[in-house]
Amino acid sequence: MNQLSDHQIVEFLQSGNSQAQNTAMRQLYKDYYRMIAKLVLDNSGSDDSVKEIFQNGIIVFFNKVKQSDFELNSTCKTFLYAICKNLWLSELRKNKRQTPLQTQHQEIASEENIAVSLEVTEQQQLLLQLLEKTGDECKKILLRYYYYRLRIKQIQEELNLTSEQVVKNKKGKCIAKLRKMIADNPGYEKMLK
Amino acid sequence: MMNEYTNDDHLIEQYLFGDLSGMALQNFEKRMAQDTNFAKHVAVEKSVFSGLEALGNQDLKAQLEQIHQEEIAVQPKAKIRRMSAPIRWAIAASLLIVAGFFIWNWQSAATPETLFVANYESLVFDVNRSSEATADGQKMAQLYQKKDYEAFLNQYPIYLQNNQGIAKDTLYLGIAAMELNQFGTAKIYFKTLVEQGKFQDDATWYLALLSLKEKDVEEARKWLKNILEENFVATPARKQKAKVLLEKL
Repeated sequence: MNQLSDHQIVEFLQSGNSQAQNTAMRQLYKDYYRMIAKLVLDNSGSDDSVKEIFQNGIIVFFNKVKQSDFELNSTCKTFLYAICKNLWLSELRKNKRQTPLQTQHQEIASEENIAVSLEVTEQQQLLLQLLEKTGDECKKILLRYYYYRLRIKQIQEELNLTSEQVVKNKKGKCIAKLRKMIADNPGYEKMLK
Repeated sequence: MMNEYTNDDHLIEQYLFGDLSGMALQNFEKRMAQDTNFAKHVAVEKSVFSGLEALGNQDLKAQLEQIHQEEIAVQPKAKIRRMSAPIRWAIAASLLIVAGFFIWNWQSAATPETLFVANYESLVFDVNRSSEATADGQKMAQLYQKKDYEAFLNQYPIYLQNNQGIAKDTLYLGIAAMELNQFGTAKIYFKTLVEQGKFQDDATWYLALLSLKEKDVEEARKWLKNILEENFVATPARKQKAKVLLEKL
């Protein structure tokens, strides 16, 4: 397949189709990993931190693109670079290393100011524990529907379920189960406030 | 509330996905401010979304690790040089198979089906349409918004007995038929709009996508070229999308 344009990358990520999403992420990986490696390695990072920052950068990128009001106002390169730069700056700050970054792409560096935290909050930790208890099938369905925004039809095919209605029913039951666990959890009420 | 999936659940889901806008969003926020129970329900759902985001981030990370191994990580050459000839051949053959698999996968992403999936979006129900003001209209709107397309299609003739239909309904009917894989029916709805000169922009676009779904690339090209004609009235965004899609065919 030909190289995807920026517009196509965004469309593939928003497509609700896991194969298209994987294709777009693979292209981002191939096109921009080395650019981010240079940014991190030039600024006291290691090979491991390159991988960590780049992967977190793709995750933030994906989470932003999924938002209904998302519009790509720059290029994917600019956007991803800005995300990774902010992630690396925040990592350096955490380690109390306040050095100004040396960047090859000054024009990119000043363009975006994107919130990038991927830290798991206390509330999310608790939710993760509860999600574990819902079972594998529930996790698979909920993740595909709510996180990857896959279409019901595709979830049915991927999980080999008999019909789309079965997916919908199972999704409803899984959410209800999770809600009940939340309601029954004594520590949770306070965290909602 | 805790044991079944209600209309409120659906509404909150739309809100949290960022799919509510205009009056629907204002009404939602107003209700949240006035109704404590509803606000609490929203808070619970918000936290569920937030938990799923954390779980999703972990899951995506695992996928990215796999991509990393395939695209970035390389084996040291020295180790390969020390291997015996049969092992080297075996590795070469495996690599060819793996490469073939990925090339096949890569190419398959450009099939009409994939292009359809990448471009198809169900039409959001226009909550400001005048017929929705009636109780029947609201019922129809709810069916569509709940993606109960089968009921939407079945109820529409009944709805028309006491209500005035509008041209845009035909678009929703086309989408509903598409969602149910009733492509012949969907085509009739969209072609009717094109012939009547109403919502030609959307109808022609969906006809192109329908052709992709039916793997009729020539037909898809024809509809896309129509959109790109100078005198065809369409938004710049739609023209751009048509151009991009046509280039891929």
